[in-house]
Amino acid sequence: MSTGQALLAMAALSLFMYTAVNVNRLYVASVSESVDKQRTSDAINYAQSVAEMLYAQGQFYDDLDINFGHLDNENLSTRRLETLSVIGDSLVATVELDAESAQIHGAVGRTATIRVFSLLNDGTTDEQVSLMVTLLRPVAP
Amino acid sequence: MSVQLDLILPPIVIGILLLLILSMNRMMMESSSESLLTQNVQQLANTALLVVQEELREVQTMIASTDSTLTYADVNQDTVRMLRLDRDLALIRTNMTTSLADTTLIPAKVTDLRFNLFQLDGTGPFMVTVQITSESLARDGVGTGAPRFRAIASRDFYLRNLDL
Repeated sequence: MSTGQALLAMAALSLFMYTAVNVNRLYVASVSESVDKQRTSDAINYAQSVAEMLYAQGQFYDDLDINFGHLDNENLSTRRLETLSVIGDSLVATVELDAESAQIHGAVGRTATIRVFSLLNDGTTDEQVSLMVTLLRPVAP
Repeated sequence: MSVQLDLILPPIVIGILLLLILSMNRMMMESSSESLLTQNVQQLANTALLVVQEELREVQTMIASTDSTLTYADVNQDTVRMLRLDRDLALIRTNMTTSLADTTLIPAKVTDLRFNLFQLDGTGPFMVTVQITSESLARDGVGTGAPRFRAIASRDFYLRNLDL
């Protein structure tokens, strides 16, 4: 085989490998995207579940700080809420309660900001996956 | 011999190249279709959950609750059964005065529907966990033997109008 032929063969092999790697990358990216979507969906649903839990405490409106005020650090297990998502991802949530103020239509209430993070194996958290802001108002018992 | 090879090799190389290009196009199309299907079932599961959320706002009296069926009276005193029928989310509403049943089917490709009624902190307000699994069929995909895709949506709901 001449040098020219050898170089051509090598070029053809390189081209084939490049194509094969790109096709595989496409597949992996597609699967990764699907998992990410499910993960984001789980995080949004978890934030809404936490919001429902806050609504359920409406009649204990005056005790919101006692019940949820300590949930302010996503890296400490005692200061966050935790759950296992349907795909086995560990999610943690923090709740930030603003001071009571006049809200829409003159009603008084407090704004709660719920942040959901993905939990890593070492117990620390990854980037924030979802965020939800909701208004809490006192409810008669 | 060398003359014959010169004649045979180019069509073979071109054939292989054509096969490669066509296979790549097929793979890209399948990948796009799979991505779309995944998104589709995920949206269906989440939409079904939204329907459940709106229905649960009107729960006034819980009549029966199993893993797969929720039966309650709503604020109009109609009896509502929420369950999975085939691949649909079904809401069977029985009118309090006429006793006529009206069935609403939500076509969300549901393959599993689960309910779990619980009290917050064991003794607190009632909440219900709803988990909906939507799944595509092989015929929804591209080509023969296309894989099926599944998406799960799960959320807790506070039953705010429930009479105790």
